[in-house]
Amino acid sequence: MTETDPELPVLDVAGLVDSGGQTYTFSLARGEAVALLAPGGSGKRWLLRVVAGLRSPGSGSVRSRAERSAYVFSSGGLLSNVSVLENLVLPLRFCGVPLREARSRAMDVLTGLGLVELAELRPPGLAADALHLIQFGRAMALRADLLFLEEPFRYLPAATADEVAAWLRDELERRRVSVVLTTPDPHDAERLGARVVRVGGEGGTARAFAAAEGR
Amino acid sequence: MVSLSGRGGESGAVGFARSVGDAVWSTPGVVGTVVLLVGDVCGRGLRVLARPRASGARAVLLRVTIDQIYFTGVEAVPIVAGLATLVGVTTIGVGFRTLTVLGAEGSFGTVLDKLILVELAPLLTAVIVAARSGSAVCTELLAMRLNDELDALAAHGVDPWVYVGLPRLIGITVGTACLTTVFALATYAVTLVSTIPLGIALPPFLASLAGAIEPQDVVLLWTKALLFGLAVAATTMARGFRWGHDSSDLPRMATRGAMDALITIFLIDAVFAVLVR
Repeated sequence: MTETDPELPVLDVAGLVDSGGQTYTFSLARGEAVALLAPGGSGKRWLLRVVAGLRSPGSGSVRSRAERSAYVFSSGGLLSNVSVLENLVLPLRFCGVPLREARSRAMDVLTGLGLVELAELRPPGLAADALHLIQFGRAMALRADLLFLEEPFRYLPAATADEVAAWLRDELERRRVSVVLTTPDPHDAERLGARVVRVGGEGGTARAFAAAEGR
Repeated sequence: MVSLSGRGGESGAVGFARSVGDAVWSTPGVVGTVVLLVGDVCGRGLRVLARPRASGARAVLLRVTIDQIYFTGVEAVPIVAGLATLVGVTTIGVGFRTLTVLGAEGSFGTVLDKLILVELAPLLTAVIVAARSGSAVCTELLAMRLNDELDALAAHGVDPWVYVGLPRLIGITVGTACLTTVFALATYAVTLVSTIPLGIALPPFLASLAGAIEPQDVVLLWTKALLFGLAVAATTMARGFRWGHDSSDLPRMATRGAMDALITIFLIDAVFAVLVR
């Protein structure tokens, strides 16, 4: 089997330990979703960032076989000094997509999301749900095969959240995209058919992960 | 009442001496950080640009670099030209009259060459760049970290050290060299204009100026300007990139970034003063 074998897990997480002592080991197959479930302040965001490679693990290992991944932050996460369109185009340009194609792909996504009138605006000042949708748009334009989602439905109105969930289910089934999300709500895991990993247990705290990371 | 005692109940004087000692002691660390950071950013940049299909990244980086050069090297021209005017007026007002009293007015060109071209133009320009672009870069990076923008870049395959760091490194360095040239030219221009109200005969004055400027002084001017610019960019970026997520720390870290830049500039200048004769 080679590293690109579709039968291999897209993500292997082994032996990550928070300073509360809980160990996390799980794999993620292609087309599968895993929900890191915990109440607020339990350290699930830190775990997701370690799994996404944005923080170094204090212990254990994370191995990704994804060709291209995208991350939807619960807040922020968009460059504030460039336009919404440029936020979508930039990762594509660094992936080698020609400018014309990158802009056309980004405009198609924004049109599909009903955000085309925001294309030339900068993110500061835009509504929280619009900012969240723009981040989904960035993931769509990038055509990522692994998505990391921080509380993906938190800022979205119910109807929009349903549409996003439907898109995610479609991506999981049709494109065999894999998803790791954090949420305090078991219903979010159910609507994506996600396997649940409980985070932090009784004593898990965000501070515990910060300490494990050596901050 | 404000306590003057330092740590562990030290008296004010001992605490002050300790803080000065700490600052001096930390200077080699700051310089080491600058060297490592420049090497790291350039290495990452080369790796990105050497990848297949890197033309998109190249175009983006070129645009961001030009924006930085414009901010550092063009938007600051009025400030630098204004300062150069004041320095030029002061230099000719005090310097030329003093030299005339001493009967050494023929040496004014040499004084101007060594004082303005070799020392003040690079140093004062770098101080302005540190205060303006340095603190702006530091604050921008801190805000980007708070807003998860740096993480967002990394998560989508864009190395933040390359997208944010490399253009600022090149832009501030090139911008500082441009501004330093503007400073030197503006000072010389003001000095020439000032000869009219002061009643100084222009032809011998021009000859004195032209005879004093040596090619190695121009090389030294640009060498210093480039190094100072590099130091400002690297020290402020080091603060910005290596900061945590504590928003209460933001103003202090931004000030520290500018202070690191100033200390490094003066240290480099001192090394030049000792080594270059």
